[in-house]
Amino acid sequence: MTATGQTQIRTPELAPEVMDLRRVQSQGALSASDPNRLMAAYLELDQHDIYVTSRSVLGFRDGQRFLEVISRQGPQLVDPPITIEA
Amino acid sequence: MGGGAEEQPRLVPDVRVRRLRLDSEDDKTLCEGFDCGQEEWEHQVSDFIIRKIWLPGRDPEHTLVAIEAEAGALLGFGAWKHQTVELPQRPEPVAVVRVCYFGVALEFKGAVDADGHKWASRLYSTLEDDARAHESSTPDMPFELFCDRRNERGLRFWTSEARAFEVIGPGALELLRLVRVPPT
Repeated sequence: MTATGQTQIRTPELAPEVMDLRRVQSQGALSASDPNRLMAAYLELDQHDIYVTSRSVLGFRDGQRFLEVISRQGPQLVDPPITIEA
Repeated sequence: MGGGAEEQPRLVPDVRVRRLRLDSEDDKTLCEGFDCGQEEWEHQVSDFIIRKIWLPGRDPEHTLVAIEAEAGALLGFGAWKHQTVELPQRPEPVAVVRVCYFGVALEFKGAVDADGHKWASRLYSTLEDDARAHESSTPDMPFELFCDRRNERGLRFWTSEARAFEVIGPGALELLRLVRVPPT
């Protein structure tokens, strides 16, 4: 755990553990609903840590990605589209 | 999308959407007074539809304009285009739909239809449908956009449960990069 409460994941071999997003999030990780805080934490951690959102986990080291968990699909849009006039 | 205090929803009964015609002086006039706010990111959106899109020699975006039916005022617009980009989740460059610009005029921010749907949300649904229906699109093609990190209202709009764009990293300057993977 880091000073900001994030879980540090240093190797791609740990990917099966981070697949359990609920576990990662329960340890104080950040969600996409708070992107400013997420970005601040990313910078504070000297870009050696991970993004954890509700749909993905992305690891960066020195600005380079080293870990990824594929995002789930987003939701179906519920607001009805407007017919485009010819 | 701009910032500012939450306002009472304004009821706008009817809005028409069509494609922007770059060869039309009427459409250029329609866009001339567009104003989505004075913040830096809002000014950039207004400047796009007032000036930048009309510059000669550009590879034009697919641009939809939403027009308030009663007065004929420009309620908002959305512009998209296909781009090939690198994404953290993908080993090879992939084609995405980039939402280049999306804005609602200051006077229509928060405006709703008779059923309570926000016109901004409906306009985005329209843009996404239009992009996905394009012959060069594929069902699993991600949507990508950049949003100023200071633009709290815009970030709420894009990352809300309704759309669920994900912040996947920093963009240039103050921009955050967001991606949405649509359901197939």
